[in-house]
Amino acid sequence: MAKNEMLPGTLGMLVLRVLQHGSLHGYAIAQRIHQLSNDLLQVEEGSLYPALQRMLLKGWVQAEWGISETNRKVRFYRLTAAGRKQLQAEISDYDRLNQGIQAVLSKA
Amino acid sequence: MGEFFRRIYYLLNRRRLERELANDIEVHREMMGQEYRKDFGNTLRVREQAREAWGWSWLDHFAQDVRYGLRILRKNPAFTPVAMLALGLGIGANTALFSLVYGVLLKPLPYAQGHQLVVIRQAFAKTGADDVLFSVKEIEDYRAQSKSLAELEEYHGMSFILLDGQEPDEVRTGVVSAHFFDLLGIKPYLGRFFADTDDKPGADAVLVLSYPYWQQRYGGDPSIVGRRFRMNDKVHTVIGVLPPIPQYPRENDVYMPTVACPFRSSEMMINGREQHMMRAFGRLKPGVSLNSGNADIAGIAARLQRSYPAYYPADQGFTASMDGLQNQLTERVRPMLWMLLATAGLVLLIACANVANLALARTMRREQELALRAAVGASRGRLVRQLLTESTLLSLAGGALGLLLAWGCLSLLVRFVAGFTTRAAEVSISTPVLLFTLVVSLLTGLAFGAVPAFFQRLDVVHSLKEGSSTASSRSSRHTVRNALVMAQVALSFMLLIGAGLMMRSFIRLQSVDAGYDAENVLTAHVPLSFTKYKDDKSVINFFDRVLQKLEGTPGIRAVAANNGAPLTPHGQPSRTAFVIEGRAFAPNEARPESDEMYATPDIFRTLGIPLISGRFFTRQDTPDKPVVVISQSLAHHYFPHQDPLNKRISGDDGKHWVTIVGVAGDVKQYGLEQEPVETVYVPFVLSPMVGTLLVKTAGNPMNYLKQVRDAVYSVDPEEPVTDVKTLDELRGDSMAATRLTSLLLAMFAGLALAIAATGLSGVTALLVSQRTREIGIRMALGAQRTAVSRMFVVQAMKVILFGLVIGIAGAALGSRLIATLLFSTPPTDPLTFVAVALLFVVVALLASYIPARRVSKVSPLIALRSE
Repeated sequence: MAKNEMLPGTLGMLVLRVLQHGSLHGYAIAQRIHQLSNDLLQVEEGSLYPALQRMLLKGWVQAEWGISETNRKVRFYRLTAAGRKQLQAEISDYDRLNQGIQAVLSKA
Repeated sequence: MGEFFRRIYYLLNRRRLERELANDIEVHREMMGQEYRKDFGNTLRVREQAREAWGWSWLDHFAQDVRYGLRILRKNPAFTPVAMLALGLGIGANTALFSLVYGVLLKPLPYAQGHQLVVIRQAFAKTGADDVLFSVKEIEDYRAQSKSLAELEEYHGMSFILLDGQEPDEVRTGVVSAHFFDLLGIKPYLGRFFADTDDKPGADAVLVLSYPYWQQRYGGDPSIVGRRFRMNDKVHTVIGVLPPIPQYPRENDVYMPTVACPFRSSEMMINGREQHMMRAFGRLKPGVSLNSGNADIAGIAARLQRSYPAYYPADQGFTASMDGLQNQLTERVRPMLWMLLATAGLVLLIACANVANLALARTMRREQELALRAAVGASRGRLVRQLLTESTLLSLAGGALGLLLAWGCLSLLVRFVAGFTTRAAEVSISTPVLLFTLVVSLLTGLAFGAVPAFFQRLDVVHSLKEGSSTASSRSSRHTVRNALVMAQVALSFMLLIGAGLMMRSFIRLQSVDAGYDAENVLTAHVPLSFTKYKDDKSVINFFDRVLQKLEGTPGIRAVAANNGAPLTPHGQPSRTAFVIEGRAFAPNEARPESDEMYATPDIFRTLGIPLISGRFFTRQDTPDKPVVVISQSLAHHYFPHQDPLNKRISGDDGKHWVTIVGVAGDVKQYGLEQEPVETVYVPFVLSPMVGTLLVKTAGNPMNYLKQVRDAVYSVDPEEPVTDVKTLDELRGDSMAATRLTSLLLAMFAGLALAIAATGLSGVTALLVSQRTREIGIRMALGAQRTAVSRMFVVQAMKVILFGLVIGIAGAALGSRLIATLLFSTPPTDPLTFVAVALLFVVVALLASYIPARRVSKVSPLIALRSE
């Protein structure tokens, strides 16, 4: 499968979005995004983990211990209240941007 | 918890969080691997990228640089101690001198709003009298008329005898107006200070003790307040103790209000506008500048001159001005301290240039290591940072060493400045001094680290390809190294010139003929109680009896009393104006002035002052036929083409005349570096204002101290004998400043020379080792060993001579800055310049010859194989 590059700045939004329904570990986050995008989007660990560290520092997600499907101790990332707010903000920003782009594309 | 705190949390829990992150990524890989059956290699890069988000990578890199730097420094036993020592000496000298400069010149006065405190001065500008003290009347005028001063208080220093049941003690007494301590903003340590009621005529006499006097004499007795002492035939009650702070304008033992001082409260003082005796201190009103204060005070002086022309003749140019107290207190020591600090700065510069050179040579040897690090991904910036970290570590270690050195020699330096300012007690290694040392160390590290970092080739290809640097880069760095050596030579030459000039001044000063014979003369101060010895007769009687007792003592050759031994630091000049019989003076014309020396007849024999013409006065010269002896310079000045003998002069405009019977040799009473002051010797029977005993002895004069004390005590057991010194000691003390300045400068210069010499030797050694191959070829082709070593010496000498030329030019310009500190030595004294230059060439020859001689140990075969 060809690797699809994501729009810059959207990875955080997608991560936050897939965490909205419950906490996941790193690999599961990547998998979720991959599946939900109908295999269009591939999340590299080289961008996922730095992004997760940034979000931890911002206080949008929290890490807590859990057990993976492979029976390994691993950190699960959970959305915080601040993260939820951030997600709303990013989605509405993205919507506006998207509308703008669409408008240009359809009229030009 | 905000983001900032989370960052700190990540910093503090870095290790655990790193493990957790590594675990996350590992699990991720495993699950991926299961799915795709692939191995993804090591996770280091991902982990590093993720960690960078925490924002602490710079710290990790820094710690890495420090660890690596420490390892490198430890592994260089040849370089590290030498560099550390050079830097330590340089930084230590700067730290020590800065602690002096800070404590004495920069630190605010330890008084409330010290910057508002001012000293007021009066002057008769046209007569050269630039520090005229104040009379009671004048103090009252300034206090009443000043618009710029919030307060004005007076001070004068006296010396009284305090009787407390123990041995009589002469106490340095500060006589002050009631609010003097309030002016300074000091709070009492015990009891209270003076109040207005203490300073009213008829008030009971009270005393405030200084902290050190209370500690030393009364062991810090807490019940001291209320104790009664006898002073000036009156009972004085202690009301308080000063806190342990430096006292201005001088250190005193006790303080009393003006009414308690028998002089200050006399009718003559209170009403005599011309009785100049006090110093005046003031506090500027908030927001008033020194300039407007000066204008205010000068205006009052101008009004006084108009109102009282008899006291302030127009042709004498009466003025008044004010100066900040801090400025005033440090006037004498300021130029010397700045000069010494500048000198220390030069030493540090030399040390910097030296270590830069060593470091440059060392980085060259590390070229391949640096290239390798660059090859595996270190950026140029990272390598430069590594080099700077190393140099800064080194300079910090040097700074720590310097701090130790400075701390070790601080007490010596404090004693040195104590002779010049009362602020010496405030000198210590304080926080600002520590900060200064830290900043200087860091700057030093960056300065000498920047040289190799800047000139070191840090690209991969060339270094790895050649295995050693190319000829062109080598020669450019060679130029840098030569420039550094030249700078060291020039700077240390300048320092040596400074030291040489100071030492020459000192030698000149030592051989000055002061006009008297200082050998084996004991001097002591006998300050008679003013209240007990009220009239001339009782004073004459006292000294006659003491002198008689001493004259009969075996081993004592001559005894005399006068009003001040030559070169005593307490010498109060007694000036008088006089007229010469037969010469007309207009009423307003300035009269001739001279020093008055009151003395017993044997003063000339005791001090060995030569007779030029006429005769000395003797015991047969009684007040009914008054005679005086004048000094040679006075005779030349006022009797240029005539014989002064038998001429008559008068100190009171012709009411009484005295006859000149002799001319005596000139004596340097106030300083070896000063011209002798014109003096009239007045027999003490005419005016017994004497207080100094001088005893010429057969052997060591200190052995006769007991006889002198016994003689005084047998006449009056309540009179103290103080300030016991020999004339030799007084002479030595008077040169202490010059001696110590030249000693310190010589130390600095010697240090600089040693550093420069090692630098030179290091560069030549490096040159020899770099050109081993060339030497081998030369010798294989038949060159003599001596010729080859001479080649290196000549090369080194070229650099040195260049540096020397720069140094001579710099010294010729720079030595003018210290001209005021020199004594009968021109700043471009040719002998000093030639001698220092010769010394330099000799040292430089040695420094370059020793490493160059190693050439002779090179075997051509080994040399050819060396690269």
